[in-house]
Amino acid sequence: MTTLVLISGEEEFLMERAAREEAVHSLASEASEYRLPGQLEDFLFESQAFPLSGGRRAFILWGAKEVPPIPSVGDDLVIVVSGKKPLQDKRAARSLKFPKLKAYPDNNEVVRWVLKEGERLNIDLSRVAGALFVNSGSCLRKLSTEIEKFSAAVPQGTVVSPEDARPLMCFSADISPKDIIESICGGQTVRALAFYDRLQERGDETGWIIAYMQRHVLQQLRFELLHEHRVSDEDAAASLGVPLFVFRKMQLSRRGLWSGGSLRASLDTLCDLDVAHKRGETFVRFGLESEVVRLSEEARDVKR
Amino acid sequence: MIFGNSSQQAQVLELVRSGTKVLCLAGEPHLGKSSFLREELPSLASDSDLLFAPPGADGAREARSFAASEPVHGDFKVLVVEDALRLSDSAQDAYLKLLEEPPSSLRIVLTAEDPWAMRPAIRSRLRKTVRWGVLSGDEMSSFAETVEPVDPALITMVHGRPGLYNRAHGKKYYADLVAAVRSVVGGSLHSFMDPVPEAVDRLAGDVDERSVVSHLCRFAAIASGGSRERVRCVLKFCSTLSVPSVNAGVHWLRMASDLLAL
Repeated sequence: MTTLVLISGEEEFLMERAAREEAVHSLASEASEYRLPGQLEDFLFESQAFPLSGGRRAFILWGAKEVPPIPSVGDDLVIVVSGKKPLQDKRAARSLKFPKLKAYPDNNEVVRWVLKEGERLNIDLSRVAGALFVNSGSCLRKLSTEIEKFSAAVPQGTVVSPEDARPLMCFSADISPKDIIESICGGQTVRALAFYDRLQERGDETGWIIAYMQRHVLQQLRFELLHEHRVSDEDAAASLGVPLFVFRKMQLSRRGLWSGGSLRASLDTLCDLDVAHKRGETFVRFGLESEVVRLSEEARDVKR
Repeated sequence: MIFGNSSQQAQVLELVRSGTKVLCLAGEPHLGKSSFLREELPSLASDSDLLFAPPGADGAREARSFAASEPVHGDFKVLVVEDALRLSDSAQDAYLKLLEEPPSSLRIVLTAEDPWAMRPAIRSRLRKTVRWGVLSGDEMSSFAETVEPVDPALITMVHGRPGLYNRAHGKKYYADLVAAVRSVVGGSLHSFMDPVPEAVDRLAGDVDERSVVSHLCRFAAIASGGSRERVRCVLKFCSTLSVPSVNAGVHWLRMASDLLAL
């Protein structure tokens, strides 16, 4: 009899992996995937035909809005993957839900997931889980790729140290746009430009630097506006989506380095540079460099 | 059934039948050009004599091999190249030869927002251009009745674009986007501090979805009754969406910050 498995949720990567693992674990001799509704007819045709291999088949149906007709004969496995809305069907052998993992503030499910992934692959990631999260954010697909690299590079059962991890991690270069931002905030123009040049020498990192600076300027602008409206530290931290201690350590020390008008002008410039860069314009590097100079000199003047 | 542009529909079918080699359907997105071709062309050419070329250079190669053979059932084959303006340079080059000397049994139908924006070499090969227009109020109402439940606010919002109505109909995140544009045009602190609307946040490289968001933002801003300066900020945001890889969320916040400062 055909086995039906229903999978739903928000995190595409986990659902994808769960669906494919179900197919592998079913020991099906062939697996095929269909996108609904476009390929519904193909699925119906294939699932009702006699299997060429004579063995069990697994069908994965992506993007289902409802459970399609399931063939009542045969020993196949049909995995129906829907979006956020879970599907219900009495015939389902299993129904799996994948809610989005939360990154903040107290229940850091992403870091817990990283540790579990390490256990699954028999490596201990407790020393690098935080760094992994900082580098790859809550994108489980990126995190999973990083973790798989570690598991291939270190012996089974190893506690992965930061020294093991650093050379393997993406964006684990000795210099990142974060160094430019810190120099800008410290009013160290020459240092910021030196980091900028080093990054650009390695390869064209204009897009990466713009994205980092946009995030910084946006966060700073939000902070200045909250401060103007006399919002408490707790509420401001919640509104900015950072833990309170990070807010106190990072944001408060940078208060007043730039006026709201200056930050708005910077955001405008960075967004224009972003569009120009993605259209393939070559002047963007110089525009970005002058924005680095402008912001760091303003911060230096305030600090003086 | 395709609503509106009935004389253009008849003209296109007649031109294909009468042997016009290269024909262009011009007009803004979401007016129903592709729907019309998909619905009506099968009546002129059988499945094996009709090809909607996949986008990109691979599509051009497939089109050339399609063009190389004789029609299976009828007197001619029809090749449709949609969104010709979005073709990369290499894809345009690949089509050029075909457009210059199409086989006698081939009819090529292109769709494009603005034929004048095509490369002159391609533009000069277009034998006929039929321009698609927005639907009238009555036509739009008739079209809307085919999609239950009828959404009168959306009918007004889409300004006679059935494709836009179809895509936005019944989707909460698009309704939320329209509400968010109205709020952001007002320039409140909340509109800058609140999370970016889902319809913007979820945008990836899908050009169609970007176009839907861009049109809805544009129409919502114009309908909001905000000053010219405020509407201009929204239109600037809409124009950035035409660059597929920009992070729409950041540009949304830039717009909100500009509006807050006005």
